[in-house]
Amino acid sequence: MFTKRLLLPGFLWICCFFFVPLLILFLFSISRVGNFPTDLSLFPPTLEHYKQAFDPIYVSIYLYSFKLAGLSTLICLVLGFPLAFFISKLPPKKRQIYLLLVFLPFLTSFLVRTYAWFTLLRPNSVIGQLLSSLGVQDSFMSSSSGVLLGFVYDYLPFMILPIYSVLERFDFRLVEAAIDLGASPLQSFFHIVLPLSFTGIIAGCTFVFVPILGDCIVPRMLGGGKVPTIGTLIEDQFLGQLRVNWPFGAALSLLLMAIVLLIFSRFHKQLKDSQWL
Amino acid sequence: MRKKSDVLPSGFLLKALKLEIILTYAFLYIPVVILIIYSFNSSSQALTWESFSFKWYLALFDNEDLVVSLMNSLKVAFVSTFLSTLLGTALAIGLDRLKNKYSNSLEILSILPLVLPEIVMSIGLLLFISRFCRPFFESFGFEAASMLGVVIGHVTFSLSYIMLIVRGKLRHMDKSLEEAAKDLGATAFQTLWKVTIPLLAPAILSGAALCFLLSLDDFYVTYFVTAGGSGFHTLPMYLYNMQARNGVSPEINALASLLLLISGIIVAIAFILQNKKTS
Repeated sequence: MFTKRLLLPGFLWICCFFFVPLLILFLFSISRVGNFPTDLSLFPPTLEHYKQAFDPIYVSIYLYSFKLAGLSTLICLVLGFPLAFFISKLPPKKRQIYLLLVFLPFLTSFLVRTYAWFTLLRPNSVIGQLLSSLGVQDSFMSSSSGVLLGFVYDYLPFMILPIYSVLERFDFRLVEAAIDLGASPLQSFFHIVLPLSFTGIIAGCTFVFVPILGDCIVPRMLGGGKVPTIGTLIEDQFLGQLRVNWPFGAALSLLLMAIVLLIFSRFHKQLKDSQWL
Repeated sequence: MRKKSDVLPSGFLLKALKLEIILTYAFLYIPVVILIIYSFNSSSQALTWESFSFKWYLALFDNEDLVVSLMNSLKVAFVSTFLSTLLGTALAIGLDRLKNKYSNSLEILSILPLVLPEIVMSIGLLLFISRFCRPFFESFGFEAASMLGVVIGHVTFSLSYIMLIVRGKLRHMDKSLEEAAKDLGATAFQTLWKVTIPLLAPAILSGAALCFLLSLDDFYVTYFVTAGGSGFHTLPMYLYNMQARNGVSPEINALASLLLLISGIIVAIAFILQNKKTS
């Protein structure tokens, strides 16, 4: 039938420009380093890049990235949940406006938002002066704290939206029932609202944690080269100033993809329930 | 009298929560607001406010490279929005009509570009294009080749976004109108053209606006596909290079504010269109 065949061009595009590149990424990851970055010496294939990826130096970078991403996710959750909750309890008309207000910064360029934060963290900026006059070290710039803040700033909306959409569908009569039965508002929150919005929380955490792992802009812009993450590591293999190593970078990318797929398959059920996948 | 469904705690905790919410909103907006304010600062020192002036904005337009980047960004955005809207809508409709055992997996496969980290997709495209497509593209000329690469990158993820949005609308759409059309003797194509697509129009348009915005603002995919900027620049890439070379400068502030303004206008238009359609 004609309408079914409509899906072909779009799907072929994805196959050609998404799946085929992934295949090529795989081929690169098992080939030897050639004279030029784009050389593909596939025969014989080698697993040396994957072995190299598990070298302790790199493993420490992975662990550091996970810590950074995990901390950022946690902060986003703590900041974002009350906001999502607050918006979901507003009357419908007001909700749209407040939601839009949350997303307006997000709808502008990721780069611009990171840059805006960058300007604030410079030593001779408003905040820098404030901090040093308070006696706090003004080394927010070029440090992991700056990068952490940058991550939270850039990815907070990704946490708020999934939680909000789950809370929006939440049946608050359950809470009424609990209060009728004698529970305090706090108790009903922790025993009813929180567990039932769990799928939204998982979705939000996933949509923050996963992109942060692969992010190479924020650590580079706000970390001044002192904050190595998985993202910057991969970028360095392809576009770095020092030795580039495309096959190694390809192996790293595929390993990152494997981790992401693991996360998604582990939380597949929750993500499905939150209707985000 | 307290509403029964009020889960909010009373007293101090409530005040703390309200404070937290206000602070979070402030956190989201303060850097951007400060950026915009200082872009009008005629002094180049970040701290001292001299006077209100447009001079940095004017300096931007004198900059030929920047104007070229802007044009590049717009060209890429229009082409990729057009292509991805076409392909994505078709994909969504096709998937909706296909009701066999594969349709679920196909849907998930179609969303994969959004799910995987952008860096993986961008690098894959870098390898694919630079290794296998370059010779072919270059026959069109160097600039067209770079632009083609960027467009391909943008379409690949925009496609999935549009697919998601239109598919969502399709799920909630009232199928009885389509059935009525078929009962009245319309062919599949006529039903599609005269019934389905007009009903989907708000979703398609807001999806297209989103893709345009994403393409304009995109840095990641563009950066990798052009291997760090081999001559072909879009606006975000230009900003990144300026920042990498000069750090913070008022011109960059002006540029960033301009980008914010363009994005804001597009969002406003999309918002108005959306509300007009539903009313």
